[in-house]
Amino acid sequence: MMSLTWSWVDQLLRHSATPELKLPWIKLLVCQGLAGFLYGMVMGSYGQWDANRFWYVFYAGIKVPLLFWVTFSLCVPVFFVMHALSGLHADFRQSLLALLAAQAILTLVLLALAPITSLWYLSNDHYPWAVLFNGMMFAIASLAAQFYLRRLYAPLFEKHARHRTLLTIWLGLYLFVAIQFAWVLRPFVGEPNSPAEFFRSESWGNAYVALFHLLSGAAK
Amino acid sequence: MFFRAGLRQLDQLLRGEATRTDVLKTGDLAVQSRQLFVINIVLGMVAGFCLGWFALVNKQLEGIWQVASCMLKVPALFLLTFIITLPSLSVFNALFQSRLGFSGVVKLLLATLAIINALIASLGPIIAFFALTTESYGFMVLFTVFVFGVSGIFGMYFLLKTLRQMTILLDELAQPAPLVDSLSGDPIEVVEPDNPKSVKKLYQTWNQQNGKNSALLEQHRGERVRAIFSVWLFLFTVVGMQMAWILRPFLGNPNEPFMWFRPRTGNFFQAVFQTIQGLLGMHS
Repeated sequence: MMSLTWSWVDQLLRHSATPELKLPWIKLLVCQGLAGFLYGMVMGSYGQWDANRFWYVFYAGIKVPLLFWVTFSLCVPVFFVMHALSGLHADFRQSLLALLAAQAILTLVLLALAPITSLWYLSNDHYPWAVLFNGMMFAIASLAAQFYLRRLYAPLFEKHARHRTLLTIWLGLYLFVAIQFAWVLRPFVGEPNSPAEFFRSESWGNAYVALFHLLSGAAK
Repeated sequence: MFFRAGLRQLDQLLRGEATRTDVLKTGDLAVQSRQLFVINIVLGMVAGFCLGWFALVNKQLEGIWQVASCMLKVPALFLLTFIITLPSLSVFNALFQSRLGFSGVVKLLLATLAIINALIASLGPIIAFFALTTESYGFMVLFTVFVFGVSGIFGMYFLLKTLRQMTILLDELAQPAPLVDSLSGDPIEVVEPDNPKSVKKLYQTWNQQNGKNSALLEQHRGERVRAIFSVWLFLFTVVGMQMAWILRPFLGNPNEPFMWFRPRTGNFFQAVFQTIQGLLGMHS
C-alpha cells in the first residue's frame, strides 16, 4: 500500500539535484491526484452551501487533477521525439521524472494555499474576484514549481545546453495546451445560482479565439 | 511563573537574542512555542482592550460589550491567521531547503505574530488616548489600520530576516569560489549580484565551464528564494487584512448599535478608500 506521509512530502519538497533522479512516479501521480482533488474541492466551494454547490465541489475536485494529467500526457509524445531528435534520448526518463515531480509540487503548493482561498471566499461576495484569486493561487504555485524544476534540472543543464531549449519548448507547449484545456473544463469555481454542470454547454470553443474576440471587441 | 518565563522569551525575541546566528545554526529558534502562544493571546487581549475604548467613550454601558468582543476578536484574528498561513509557510520553507523543521516553522510564525502583537499592544495606550480625545470615527479607523499595518511590516521584516539567515543556499555563499576563465585560466572580475549585466555574464561563463563554478550562480538563486518568499509575505498580508475584515467591527461605529459581526459586504481596500474620502469631505 502506498503511504503519502508528511515525511515523504517533506523529502520531496527538499529534494536536491542528483545526477540520477530516483522518484517513484506512480506515487507522484497519486500525490498530484490527491492534492489536486482536495484543492479543487476548495475551489468549487464558493457561495451558498446547497445541493447544487455540492456538485460544483465534486466536479471541481475531479477537474483539477484531470487538467494536470491530461495536459501532461498530451505533451509527452512531442517531448520524447524532441529528445530523440536532439540526441538526448538517454536523458528522457530523467527529464520526465523531474517534470512529474515539479507538477506534484505544484499541486502540493496549491493544497497548502487552500486555506487562504477559503478565507477569500468567506470574506468576499463578488464572483469575478473569486475567479481572479484562484488564478493568482495557480500563478504562485506555478512559480514555486518552476523554481523546484530548475533545481532538479541543474545536472541536465550541466550535461548539455540543449536541455534548456527543450525545457523552454516543453513549458511553452504545456502552457498552450493547459490554457485551452482549462477553458474547455470551465467552470471551476461555478457562479452561484447557476445549475451545476460538468461542462458549460457553450464552452466547447477555443480559448485563443475567444481572447482575440475579447480584445478586438475592447479595441472598438 | 509560566507567564514570567513567557515575558522573558518575548524580551529575548524583541532583542534578537532568540534568533542569533549561532542559535539558528542548530535549525531551531530559542523559544518555546507553548509560552509564545500564551503570550500572543495575552498581548492580543491587551490590544483588544485598548481598541474597545472608543466604544466605551461613545456608548457608555453598551461599550462594555464592545470591549469584551474586541478582547476576543484580536486574539482570534491572530490565531486564525496562524492556522491559515501555517500550511503554505511550511511547504514553502521545505521547498526552499531551509534548515528549519516543522516545529521550527511553527515557532517562527508564532514569533512573528508575537512581535506584531507586542507592537500593537505597545501602541494600544496611544489608541486609547485618541479614543478619549477624538470624536471622528473615520480618523480612528484609519489610525487603527495604520497601527496594524506598521506593526505587520515590522513583523514581516523579522520573518524575512530570520528565514534569510536560515536558508542553506545563503550559507553556501559565505565563501564563493573564485571564477576562472575557461581558456586562459585567469581569474575573472568579481561579479556583483545586484547588477543584471554582471549576472548575465556570469551565466555565460558558467555555461562555458559546464557549471564548474556554480557558487556564484547559487547566490543568484538565493535572490530568487527571497523573491518567492516575498510572494508568501504578500499572501500573509492579504490573509491578515481579510481576516480583520471578517471579524469587524473592532472599534464600533458610534451611530450603530453594538453587534458581534457585521454582514459580509465589499472588501478591505474599498472600505479604506471610502473612509479616506469621507475624512477629506468627498462623498462618492
